[in-house]
Amino acid sequence: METPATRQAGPDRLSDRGRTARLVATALGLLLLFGGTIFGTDDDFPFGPFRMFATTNRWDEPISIARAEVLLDSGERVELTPANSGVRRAEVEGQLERFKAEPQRLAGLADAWRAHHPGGSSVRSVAVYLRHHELSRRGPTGHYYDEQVATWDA
Amino acid sequence: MGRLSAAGDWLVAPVPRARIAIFRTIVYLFVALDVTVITGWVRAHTGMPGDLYRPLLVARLLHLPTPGRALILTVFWVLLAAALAAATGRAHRLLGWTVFALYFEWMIIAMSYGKVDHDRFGLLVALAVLPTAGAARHTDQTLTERGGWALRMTQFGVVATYFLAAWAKLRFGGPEWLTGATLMRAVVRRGTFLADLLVQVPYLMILSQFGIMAFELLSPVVFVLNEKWRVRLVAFWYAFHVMVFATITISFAPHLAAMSSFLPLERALARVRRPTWGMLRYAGVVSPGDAPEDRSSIWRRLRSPSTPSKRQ
Repeated sequence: METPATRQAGPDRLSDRGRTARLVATALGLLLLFGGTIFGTDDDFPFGPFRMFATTNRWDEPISIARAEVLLDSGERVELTPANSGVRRAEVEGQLERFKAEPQRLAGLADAWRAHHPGGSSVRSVAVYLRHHELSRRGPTGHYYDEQVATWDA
Repeated sequence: MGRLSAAGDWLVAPVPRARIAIFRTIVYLFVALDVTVITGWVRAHTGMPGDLYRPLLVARLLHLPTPGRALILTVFWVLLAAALAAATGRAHRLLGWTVFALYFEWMIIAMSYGKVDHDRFGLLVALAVLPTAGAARHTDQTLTERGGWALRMTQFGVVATYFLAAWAKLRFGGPEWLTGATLMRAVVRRGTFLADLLVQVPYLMILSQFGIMAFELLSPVVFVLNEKWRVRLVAFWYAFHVMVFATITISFAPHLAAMSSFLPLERALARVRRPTWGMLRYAGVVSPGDAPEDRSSIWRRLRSPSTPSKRQ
């Protein structure tokens, strides 16, 4: 591979085969990438569309942010976070429709909480809320209301 | 045919091996940082039950198992060890492919619970091509075409992340993306103190949305700039991400690591390695009478004192 001769004989050049293989790989990669961007969905990762922050909101409608909460036997309500359960807010938003249609799936979030708190107070129920923030052209007005979109009792 | 051949030459335009070696170190050290800190939450998924796992297409095609505690922890530790070893540049193929396969699995786990991120496409490309870039030492200035192709592909990945993100904004958000409450949503979700101040400036968010769209659509320009302006444009991109982080705490860190593929890294390293005047004086190799501008020649003399003609 790397003989002293190649090291001194100027640039390390590709063989014709190596060069062709790379050009073909480049073309294939670009094809997948553009195909994913034009027709694909998130499911096609890593060749899906680059859609983070690709959606938008209207100025005259509230901005809705989801969160999941567990209600413990102790009466305490805790919002699920990556630190206390491994649950990310974006993941709750990503599966929101599924939780609405099949609320029993929320049992999974209770499991995630329990795995991080063995021996802790047991979970009475899990709920997913949307908080609707009112907007003005100068930012959120500070007014909001919560809507419970799914709930499950242990 | 001539044009195709010229395009081929451009795709494999040679770079110094030292640049590959340094880029490897950056990328593999970043992977170690990423799995421990930035996407450390993937490890927290060990408590997630299988029914919240929504395997991506690639996971279904490869019949990857539903991640459980044992799988996630095994991937974590082997990946961490392999990435740290790969950062040295040794066994670049074996370690490189190992890191690529395990990091890809790490990403599939990360993205299979309802949220897919697109800030790591450039890094994934870098990991896929670095094993093909050939052996490289941090000081070897020999030019390499296989290394050139690896960097070019990573650069494609970085520019695609901008250019195709603009495309996705038009596809999913439509033209209203430019004039809607797009950034406002990000600020409400995760804005900082600075962002809360900035949203109060009339029309600043909309102006920023036009600015983001323009710079993303124009990003391929980086390929026709000379080195001086290329480095300036990349510096602007880095500055943009600093601003994004300061306002909505989104770091795009993997993308930033991949973006170093545009920089003349070997020259940066050479500059860092050249001792300062103070170091030379402390080492006793210069006397008070020497002029500071002789620093480079003193350094050259020090490095090859006995064989001054060997490099000719």
